[in-house]
Amino acid sequence: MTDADSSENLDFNVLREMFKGEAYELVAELEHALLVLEEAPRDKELVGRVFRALHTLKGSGGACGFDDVARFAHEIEAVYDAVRHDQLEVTSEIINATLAARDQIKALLDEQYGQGKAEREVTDVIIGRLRQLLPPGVLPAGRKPAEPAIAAAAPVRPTTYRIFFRPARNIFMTGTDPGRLLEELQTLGSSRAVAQLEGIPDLKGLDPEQCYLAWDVVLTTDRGIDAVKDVFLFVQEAGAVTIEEVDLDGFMTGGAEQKRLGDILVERGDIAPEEISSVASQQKRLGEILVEQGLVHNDRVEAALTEQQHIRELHRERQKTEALSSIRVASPKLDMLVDLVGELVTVQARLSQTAAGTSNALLLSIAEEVERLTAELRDTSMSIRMLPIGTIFGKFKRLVRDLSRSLGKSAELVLEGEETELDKSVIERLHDPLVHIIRNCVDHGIETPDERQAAGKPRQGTIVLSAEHSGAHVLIRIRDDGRGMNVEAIRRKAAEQGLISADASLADQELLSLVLLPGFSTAEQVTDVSGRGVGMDVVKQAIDGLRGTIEICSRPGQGTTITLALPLTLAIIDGFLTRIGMEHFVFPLPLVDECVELSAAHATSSGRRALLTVRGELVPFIRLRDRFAIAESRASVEQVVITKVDGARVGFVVDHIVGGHQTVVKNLGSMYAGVEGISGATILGDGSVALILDVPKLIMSVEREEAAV
Amino acid sequence: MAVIRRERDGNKEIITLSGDLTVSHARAMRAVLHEAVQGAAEVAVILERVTDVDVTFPQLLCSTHRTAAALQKILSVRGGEEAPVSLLLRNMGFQRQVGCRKISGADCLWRCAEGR
Repeated sequence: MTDADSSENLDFNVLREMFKGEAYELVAELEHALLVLEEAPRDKELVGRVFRALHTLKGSGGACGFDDVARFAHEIEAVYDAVRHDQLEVTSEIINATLAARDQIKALLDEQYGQGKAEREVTDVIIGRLRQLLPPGVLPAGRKPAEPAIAAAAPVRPTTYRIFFRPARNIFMTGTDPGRLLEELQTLGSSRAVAQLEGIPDLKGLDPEQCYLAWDVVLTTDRGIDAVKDVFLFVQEAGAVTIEEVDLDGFMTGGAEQKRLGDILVERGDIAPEEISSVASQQKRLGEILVEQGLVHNDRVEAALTEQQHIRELHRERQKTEALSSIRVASPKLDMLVDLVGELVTVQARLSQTAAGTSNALLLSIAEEVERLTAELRDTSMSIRMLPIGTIFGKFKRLVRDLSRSLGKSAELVLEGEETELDKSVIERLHDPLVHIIRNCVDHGIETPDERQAAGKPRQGTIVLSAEHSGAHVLIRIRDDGRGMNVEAIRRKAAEQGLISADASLADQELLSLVLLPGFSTAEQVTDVSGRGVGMDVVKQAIDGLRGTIEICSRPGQGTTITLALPLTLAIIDGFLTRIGMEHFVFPLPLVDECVELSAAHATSSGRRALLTVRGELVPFIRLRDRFAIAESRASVEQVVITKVDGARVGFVVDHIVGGHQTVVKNLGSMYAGVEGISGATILGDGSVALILDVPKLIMSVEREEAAV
Repeated sequence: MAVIRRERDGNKEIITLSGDLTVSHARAMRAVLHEAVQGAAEVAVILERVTDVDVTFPQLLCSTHRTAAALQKILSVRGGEEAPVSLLLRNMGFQRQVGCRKISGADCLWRCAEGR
């Protein structure tokens, strides 16, 4: 291999890697557009969205050497081309086949990126299905997917084209409306058309069913010249079409003068440069003089003026977008940035603490300045990692659609608050729990259409997935209008499984929380979807891992609402710092309900369980000193931090309460992965380490130990 | 379906066009406009409740305008701001800044206010 070859391969690999993010975004966009199109099959804008996603997958996929993807996308594109030209209507069969095709494109991409193996025969089966859907004769046999070499030239940077189109005189007779072609051009980007009216005769000579018009169009698109040519594919032979790139050099860069009318006319070949020079000295508008003197036809001046206006707006638009432009950054780099900011926050705390211990005014002032800047840097770097939650919400539409169909049900997923932002690491870990909850909603919550009708409900069930900010948390609600949860059945099952005593007096909220316990399920049948009693347990573990909480509300016959409260970020949390002897412990602040002093008068016990009376309520408590075997003598007055987890209050006894603390979370590493009740650590201002408590796990392990005795 | 209504007011012919002003009805509209331009000194075209329109319609009006100008007759068009018509004129590039050479620029049917 020569140096040139290896450099070419390197470039190709870089190109593929650059395309990776965009490719998966396009696949997601395709799925989303298809699901919306299914609900509004006549919406041409949605058809355009599907078409554009496929077209870009074809072009850019071809450019990256993903020929399988390019060819496959081309086949599907043919179907949507027929839809765009009213030769085919969108049916659920087309949507189903395209969704299957979307899955196959994703599998092909996964394979290219070394994440699995795609079955080639699936491609052929889907192509067969798609071809059968096309009306006879529509299959564009002459069309080929973009060749990699051409597609490689497909510009990411928008290009401006000057298009002249004179349709065949009898174009209306062939059933083609030239207006549609212009509309199609408009879907490719920003365009302006000027109709050339010169050829229209007077009424005597006019056959009104013939076309005497021609058009000049100036179009700016990032779709490449092939996409422009494709618009005229079926009319090119009978009419005249020319497409040329507009030379914008020197006119789009900052500070350059805008393109002058005379330059445009010369460039378009409408007039010679010397003729322009001779009239340029006259104190009149150039366009008017040229038309008056018969040097240029007014339609040509019109087209040139329109092009001038288009370029001017393009320039303005580009200036605006350059100010708002974004760049793609590999997420590990962002993770690294947040880690470094975390380190900086810790060092800054040490600096502030050291400065506070001196009387050096200059040092104090510097420490304050560093504190302010660090806080700004922390907020900015955290905000960079924020993503709209809609990035995962969109995926669940397909889940509900496919699942409800397979179960013979009808359900719609309504999304709310998709723009709500959450740290990307939280979003990534939220996918699986949401899948479990939504599957349960469809399988157990939503009734069959007949059952719903009999209950006086619409035949189609609704699941609402919403997100909203609430302080330092995001509340995610999954609400269905199904049959609701049967509290009595839960009580019976829990008693059968020995989780509660048969005569236990538990509030509905506490009973509903039992479904979060491992192995708990009231489902009579185990289906492929749910009913094995593992789903909600997985949800609970995942949400605990995210330092979030779960609340379940349900009304028989009216439906169930599950609310997940999640921290905005996992990297830095609001903590509640406490001390036992010389050791520091951090409670996640959202779990802290209140703090009280521990007095002998209010402490009692029941079996092995220590209890505290708080305003008449019995609250179980755990001595952290005993739990972590801290030998130092206890404080004369101990404090109890009362937490609230899944609706139940549990206290933790500590020596001292230090107060609120911005906690930079550090992993403990694999050696301490098995330590139950600790989720991480943080470094305090004096350099000492404080452990971050995993409160739900701590409670669970104590309960397990008590039950074992 | 296109609805064509004709009224006569002295030397003025008023033609009201409604419904689908598309190629399917272009022949009928041409016949009416031709007759009106030949027989009246002034022709007023009123567009109302237009449901659909394609490029054959502005083409027809342009031809009528040129015919009327050659015969030194007056053609006026009202109702061009109706949604389907104005959308078509804008998107299909009929609006003009410099007007038409066959007729005095200022009188062009498609000359927009923002001329230069």
